[in-house]
Amino acid sequence: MDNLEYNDIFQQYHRNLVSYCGEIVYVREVFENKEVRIQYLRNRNVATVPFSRERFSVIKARLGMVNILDSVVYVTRLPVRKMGIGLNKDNVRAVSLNTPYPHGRNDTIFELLALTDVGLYKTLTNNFPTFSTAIEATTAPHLPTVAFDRQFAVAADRTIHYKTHPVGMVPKGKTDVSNIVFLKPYKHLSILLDNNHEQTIRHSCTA
Amino acid sequence: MNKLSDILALPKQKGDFGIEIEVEGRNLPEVDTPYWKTEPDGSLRNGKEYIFKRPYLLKTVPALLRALNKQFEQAEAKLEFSFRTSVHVHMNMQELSYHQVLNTIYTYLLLEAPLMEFCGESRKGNRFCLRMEDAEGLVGELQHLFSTGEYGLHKIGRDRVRYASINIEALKKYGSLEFRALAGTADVDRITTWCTALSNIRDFACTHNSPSDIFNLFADIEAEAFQQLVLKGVAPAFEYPGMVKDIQRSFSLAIDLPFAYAQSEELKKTLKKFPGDADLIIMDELE
Repeated sequence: MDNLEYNDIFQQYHRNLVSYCGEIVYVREVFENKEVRIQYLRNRNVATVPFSRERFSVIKARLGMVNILDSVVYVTRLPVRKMGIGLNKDNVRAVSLNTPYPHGRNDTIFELLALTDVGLYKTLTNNFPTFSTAIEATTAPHLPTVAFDRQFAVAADRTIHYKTHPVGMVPKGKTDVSNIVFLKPYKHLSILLDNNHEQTIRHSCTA
Repeated sequence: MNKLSDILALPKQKGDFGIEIEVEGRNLPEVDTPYWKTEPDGSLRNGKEYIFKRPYLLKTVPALLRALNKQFEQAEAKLEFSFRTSVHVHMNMQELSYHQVLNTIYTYLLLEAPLMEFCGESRKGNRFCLRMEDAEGLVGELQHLFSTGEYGLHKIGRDRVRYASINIEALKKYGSLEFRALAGTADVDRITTWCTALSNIRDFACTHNSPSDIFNLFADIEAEAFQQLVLKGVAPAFEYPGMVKDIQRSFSLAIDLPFAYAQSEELKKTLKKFPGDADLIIMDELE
């Protein structure tokens, strides 16, 4: 496989989120000797490694709801022409929900767009808390919002958000997705949660 | 029924497919025949792009591809299909109605995973042909098209969705849908199979009234049966282990589209019925 020159590596990989030997990494720096400083998203460890096209590739994983700073941001990639091969500030759109942001709405978006938060790693690896764990987490005094699926989040007032819209409620005392009461135009969304089409990995520790 | 060419006032084109084949290598000929032309392509290394001069019927595609391959043989060309090369296929949609165009887009998206599997591993996540699951922003843009009626066709933005595996910007420009996913090749069977699959999707789309109908059909039958129903004779070329789960995920990803369409149709009907109460009805919908 043909390899790339320094300028190409810089243009295509610098400040991009990519896959390195199967691990999700953020490319912090590209050096003229074709070494690359990467930061692992999983644990934020930093390493300097030689570049090769075989080892660095695109992330074949979806974005969606990201649990970050006790709140949720809905993140998508746009199919626009940019030079970076991975996820980067130019091709990622981060939208806040109509929910409280304990650390500030702008600061939360800013933190997300740094593309190094572990919440982003959990979304890319489809790892979310169970619905009951998410509801429990929202009862904290600072009114957090918690995503329990790539497309769904629950707010402290028990509103259910799908992507960027409030779409229903979960009654007090209920902790199963089957208890969600969807607003009329969004009733069809129950299919997504009933069948777990997203094949989400659920965990029961707090988000 | 308004045709796309009338809605967008496009110069009429006959034929099914326009094909662009990007090639790198040595001794690449300058092909200029009644059917093919050659253009330089700056994104390739020592490469050229071979393009149909106009759209041709599906049944003539194999013969045209053989003719191009003959040109390569005569020039003793050494073809190389690196990761930079691809085959872009434009499918003519000019004779279709707005609803049929939406049906085609929705059906393609439901089957995007098996279609991309066929196109090659290097095409998944590729920034020049992003899948719906790579760039969900596409769904947001499509939602607008699905909910605004024929008017939405005029409003397709420039450079907002062009690098998706299905490029809807070509609708406005040429009256075609551009499919960008196939990895570089000049193989006659491979390109013909790809075009046949796309043509079958379009045929299927034309036999249904709306994206909602296709949604309901999908919900009633198994994903595998849906794939076979749509792709017909070429369906086996697009099968692989894990296909069913992948199609179900696409169904989840694209779920907003048929409902955006259905809700806007419902609203239109209500507004027609009670024209004097338009403001109240819209406010009620927003609530």
